[in-house]
Amino acid sequence: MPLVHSTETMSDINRSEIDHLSSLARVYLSPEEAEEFSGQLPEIVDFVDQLSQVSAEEVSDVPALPVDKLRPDKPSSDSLTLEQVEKLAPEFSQEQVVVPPVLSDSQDE
Amino acid sequence: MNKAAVYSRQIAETNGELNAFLYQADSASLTAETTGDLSDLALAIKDNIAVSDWPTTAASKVLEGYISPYDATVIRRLKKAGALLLGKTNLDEFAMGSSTENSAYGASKNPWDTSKVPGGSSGGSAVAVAAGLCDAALGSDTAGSIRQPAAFCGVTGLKPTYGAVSRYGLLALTSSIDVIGPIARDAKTVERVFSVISGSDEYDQTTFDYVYKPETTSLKGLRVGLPKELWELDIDQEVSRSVKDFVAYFESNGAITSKVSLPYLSYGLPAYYVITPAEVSANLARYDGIRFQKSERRADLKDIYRDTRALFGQEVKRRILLGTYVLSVGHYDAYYQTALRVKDMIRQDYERVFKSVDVLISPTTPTLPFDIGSRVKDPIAMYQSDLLTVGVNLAGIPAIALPCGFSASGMPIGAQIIGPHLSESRLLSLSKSYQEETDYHTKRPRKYS
Repeated sequence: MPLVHSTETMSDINRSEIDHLSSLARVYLSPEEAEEFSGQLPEIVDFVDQLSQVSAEEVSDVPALPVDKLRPDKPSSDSLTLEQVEKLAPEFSQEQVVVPPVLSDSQDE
Repeated sequence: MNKAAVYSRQIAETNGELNAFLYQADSASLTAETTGDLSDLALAIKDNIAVSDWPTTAASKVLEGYISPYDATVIRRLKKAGALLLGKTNLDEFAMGSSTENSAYGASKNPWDTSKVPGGSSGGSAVAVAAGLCDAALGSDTAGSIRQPAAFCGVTGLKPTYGAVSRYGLLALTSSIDVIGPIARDAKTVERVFSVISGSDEYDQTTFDYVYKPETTSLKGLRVGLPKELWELDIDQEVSRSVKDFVAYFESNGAITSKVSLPYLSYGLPAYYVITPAEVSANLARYDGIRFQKSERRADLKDIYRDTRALFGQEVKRRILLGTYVLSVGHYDAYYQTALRVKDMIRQDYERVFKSVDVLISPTTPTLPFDIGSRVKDPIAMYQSDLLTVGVNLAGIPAIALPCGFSASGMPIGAQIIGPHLSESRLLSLSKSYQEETDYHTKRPRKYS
């Protein structure tokens, strides 16, 4: 089974899709990165598209995860101390991590 | 001068050239807290494993300055066994890469030829062992990241069975596949470290009850399979010849070889490059400027995210975006679900094959160590470095890479032995036998003897 490294791409991972993914993942690209990725990402998607050669009938179902080994639902006494959190947090006050408001009045995305 | 002090000095002297270490322990603190089975060993730790009060950067700018508040389980076990920890080693950023060139803190260099890559992502650990800067090191292996750098650096590296070693404290890349494992100059030392770090851990539900017991595997009558899908790949002639000699060693001692086929192995690399980006996009969502690192105050939360996550390197950004893509509506079935099915078919291929053979042997890498800079701009060419190693990760089974020869240009070549689930004792026994009768593993890079 030869591995294909094709420069012809059929996927829909174009520049506008990349901008959309970038916004979803909160990973912002510089214009240069976006340009470079609009060349590289379709090639990688084409590479993994080899999976489409595997027909659904010939492969087993996705195996279920083993769920018999879950730990009891009891809180552990191990935790970070407030002193440790204070050292790690960007901002800390009154025993809480300070962050900008999560909900705002603005409508923009 | 005690050993730790000697290593410390050597690390300081060589790091400008080799860049194996991102952090070096203060030599004043170099005494183990207790004595135990590993009291005679000094270890280097890949910088995606948490060591309490030490920086953990995952070779990323996103974690610059971050100090771990706890020890990974493997670290707790090493400390309890009296091992000395020397520092944290370089890697491809968040373990994404096969050359250590994706580190935000500079590539590590192959001590056999510093114009070549040491491999990755555990490049720093492999370099530290090969250049004599520690007795052993920890790495992690998700598509070959212990075995490939071990092969490129002429050292011995074990990828354990998934679940044999706790991942608690390992910065997650692909949670369903990641494994921590030891690298050292010989299989005996690899075995010693493995027996301490392995075993079930209540902090990692994917581990199981496993107490490592060394066992001797006889070569006489050993059934060795040679996977057709790996041997038929385009492999460098010198690599192929050395590994064929490695196979001949086993045959001359009474092993029986046969060709075997694992048809779904050919889909291993594409399946991996769907599953890993998918899990990466989830696992790296936590790097938001609040949980793990300091950020500047901003009016809008989104600005904190943007400023922090803009610091990811290119390969990390590529994989996060790819993962977001393959998990999105309209693509989820075609890519992610199919990849999971293929992963299970690969597991079944190995399971079937191990009914008729005891181990598989193949080269570890398709090429000799390549030039620094030669693949880093071509992601797919870089991914091809994992062709011979990734199948084992998808199946969750163990494999070991060990030196079996050198190229005409003096670069190391590594063979790979693959075994069924929880067969580490078999892999280590065979490696120890080979190393008792050959001396490739005793060679040192001229400059670092």
